This record gives sequence, structure tokens and C-alpha cells, in this order.
Amino acid sequence: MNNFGWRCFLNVKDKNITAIRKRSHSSAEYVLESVKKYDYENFICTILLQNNSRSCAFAIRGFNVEVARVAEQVSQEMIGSMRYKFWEDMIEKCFTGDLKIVPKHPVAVELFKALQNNKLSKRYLRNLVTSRKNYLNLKGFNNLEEMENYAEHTVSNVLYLVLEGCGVRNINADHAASHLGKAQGIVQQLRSIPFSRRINFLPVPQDILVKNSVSQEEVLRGKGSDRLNECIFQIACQAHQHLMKARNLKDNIPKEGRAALLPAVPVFIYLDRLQKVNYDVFHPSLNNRSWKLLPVLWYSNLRNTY
Amino acid sequence: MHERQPPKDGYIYVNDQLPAMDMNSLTDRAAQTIFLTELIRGFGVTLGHIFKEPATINYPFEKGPLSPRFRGEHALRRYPSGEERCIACKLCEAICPAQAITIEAEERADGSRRTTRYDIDMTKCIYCGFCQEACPVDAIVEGPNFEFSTETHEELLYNKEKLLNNGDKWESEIAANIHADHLYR
Repeated sequence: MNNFGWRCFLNVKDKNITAIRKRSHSSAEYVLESVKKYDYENFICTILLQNNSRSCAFAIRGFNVEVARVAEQVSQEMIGSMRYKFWEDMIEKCFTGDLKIVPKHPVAVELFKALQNNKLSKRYLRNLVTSRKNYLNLKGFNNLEEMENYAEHTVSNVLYLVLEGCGVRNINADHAASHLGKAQGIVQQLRSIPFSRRINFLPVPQDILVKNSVSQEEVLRGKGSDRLNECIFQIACQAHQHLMKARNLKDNIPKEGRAALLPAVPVFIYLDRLQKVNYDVFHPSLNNRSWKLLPVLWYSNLRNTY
Repeated sequence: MHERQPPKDGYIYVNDQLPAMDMNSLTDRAAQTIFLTELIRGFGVTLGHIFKEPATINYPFEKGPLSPRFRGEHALRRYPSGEERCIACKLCEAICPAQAITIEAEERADGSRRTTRYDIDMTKCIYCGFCQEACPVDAIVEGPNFEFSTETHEELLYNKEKLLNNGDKWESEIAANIHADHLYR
């Protein structure tokens, strides 16, 4: 209270400094903030994990946020590959086990700590960077398989790593993570359709557009139509199938690994809401977060299911 | 009376037509001049603009809108903990097409690699924003400030201290702009 009163008397110039002081200090808090800001639903799923696996999962999610944002930040492919090269080098340095040579980026420091406490595969971390790098110049997908591959590379790899952070190395868990990653990746693409013009990227596969005779312009202009809804329906069906496959594997997955697959809940909620608005991705109600998300996530975590 | 000619050989005459010179049109034009209708209509326009919102702004006190992607004066940002972000990876120096950035780096006592010198020649800079795009830690940014004219050339040779000060001064605006422009996918 006293502190607050003192702050009120500061002039405008000092305001920024106090704003800085009020905010986070450690690298862990920085990573927490960045995941919360850029990846809210996964942030909620991640805080439901247990102690050690949680900090590890935050390092991985924070790393994923950093590499995922590169594509939208750069205007030229070369600049993007320079930045990915930096992250590739950072992974190598983190695996040497020498904190001195790790760049002093909060995400790098957190990843280094996670690697000291958990056994994570370097392959998956590298996959995260290389897949983003390969898709840097991508302006759309030719078919649904390409979209699934993209989802598998960018989302499933994160889930494999989170599972490893939970200490689960199980073929069934990885199988479920692969399907769930595809479902989540496809849903992310669906959710970015209203922003396709701004990100200069067409998230609907070409062959589905052609089959339903929808022009690219219709998608970019954000005009909903029955034919476009039909396209969305076909894509959403695929995501739903993957989600169901992942959920059917539940009984074969060790108990401590199930919390890592909690992102299935927001994916299911979104698909459910999409169905209710008749597969119209431009429907304004889809822009708001569902009130169901938090209670359902909490309850699923309590029942140790996903 | 000069009627518009039908297109000959596929060409259409698009220039101004000459005014009609027959008696009727000539007297009409003369009457308009004499009766000063143009003058009155001109007053009408003036009167209308008195009641309209002015198109200009009172510049140094009012500022026009800026895009979140506006590329103005450079700034070096810090982490919320107060530690500087720059880790001396030199990607900005490498990408700069005008070669306006000079960096020297060495290890600190705690083992972290930091810059000892970070200079930008603002008179060489072409404000392309590549340094900002290339920075993996979001350290160097082109902030929203465009009012940094100086009297001498030397004042536009920015050093690290000046850039960090800019960062502290503009941090809230820069952070807001970065957030305004993001989309996670």
C-alpha cells in the first residue's frame, strides 16, 4: 500500500522504470509471461503439470513460441534462416552442458536448466527449428496431407518433448501425441483463416478449395459462404478423427503422461463450437474465449484424462 | 457545337474539348461572369468549411496516427529485469545493407557475451528495418519516434548509451507495437 502511494507521486518519466520493476525478474518468469501472451491455451494446459515437468514444459513451450514467431517477423527468407541458425546453434550449445557458452536469452537459459534436470532428445528440438525453416517460404498447402505434415512437425514435436519432460517414453503415448499434434495443428490453421490476409498465408488446402469450387479470393476477403463452410467441414472432420484416435489410446498411456496431452481439451472445445456455428470460421462468437475452457481443463486434469 | 466524335480506328479522343463558340453558349458564359455566380459559389464553399472539422492538426502538440510497423529511431531494449537484451550475435551488423552498424563484443566477468560498443550511424541508415527483423532476441528495434533531428552530424552517430536510453524511454510504446502486430500459429 505504502509502495503504491509512493509510485503515484512519481513523474511521467519514472513511470516506465516502475513499470519495468513491477514486472518479472527471473528468466523463468519471462518465459512464463511470453507463453501466456502468445499461446494462452497451451499455457493453461502447462500450468496443470507437476513441478519438475512443468518448468521443463514451459522451457519447451517458450522455445516453440520463439521459433514460431520468426516467420511473421521477417520479410525475407534469408533473414529468417539466419535467425533459425541462431536457434540451432543455441540447441547445440545447450547440449554441451556449459552454461557459460549458452547465449543469455531467458528461453536459452530455461532450456539449459530443463536439460540438466530432464533427458530430452536433441532430435525433437532440432526438428522444431528445421520444420519451421523448411516452411518459411510457404504461402499455402497443396493438399490436406501437406497440412497434416506441417502440423505433425510443428506441434507433435512439442508434445513429444513435453512427454519426455514428464519422464514418459512410451510408444502409445507418442502415437497419441502424434495424432493430437495433427489435430491441434489443423485447428490452429482453421483459427488463422480470418487473419489469412494479414499473415499473407492461405490456410485452406488447394485441393479442397478446388473440389468445392471456392476461389482463394473468397477466403482472403473473409466472405463466408456455404461452399467455404463445406471446405472447413472437411478439414475439421480430419482434425476430429485425429483427436478421437488420440483419445482412444488413453488407456494404454501411463498416468503421468496424460497431463501432457491436455491440449486435446481446447481443441475439442473449439471443434465443438465450430460445429455449433455450422462451420463458419468467420462467426464472431469464435473470436471470444469459451468460458468452458478453464473448468473443463481443471476437471479433466482431476480425472487424469484428456 | 463540338460533339464527342465516335471512335475512329479504335482511338478515343480523351483530351479537353474546346468550349462551344455558338452565340447561345457565348452569352451564357458571359452572363455567368457578369452575374458573379462563381464568386458566390466560392463564398459558399468557404462558408461550408467554417463549419467542417479542419483537415490539419496542430502538429507539435497533436500527432497523426502511426502504424505499429512504423520504423523510426532505433532503440536497444532491456529485459524486465533491467539486463540488456543484446547478446552480441552480430546478425544485425551482418544484415545491414548500408553497413551503418558497428559492434564490438567481449565476455563479461560473469561469462556472458555482451557488446562493448554498439554504434549506429543514423546518417547512413536507410530505415529498412532488417536489423529489427534479424535480431533473435528483439534487442534492436526501430521505435515509433521520428522527431530526432539534430544540428550537427556528430549527434546522429549513436552509441550504445544513447540507444539504451532510447529503449528505456520508449519501452512501453515499443512493447505495445510488438504485441499489436503478433499472431501465433
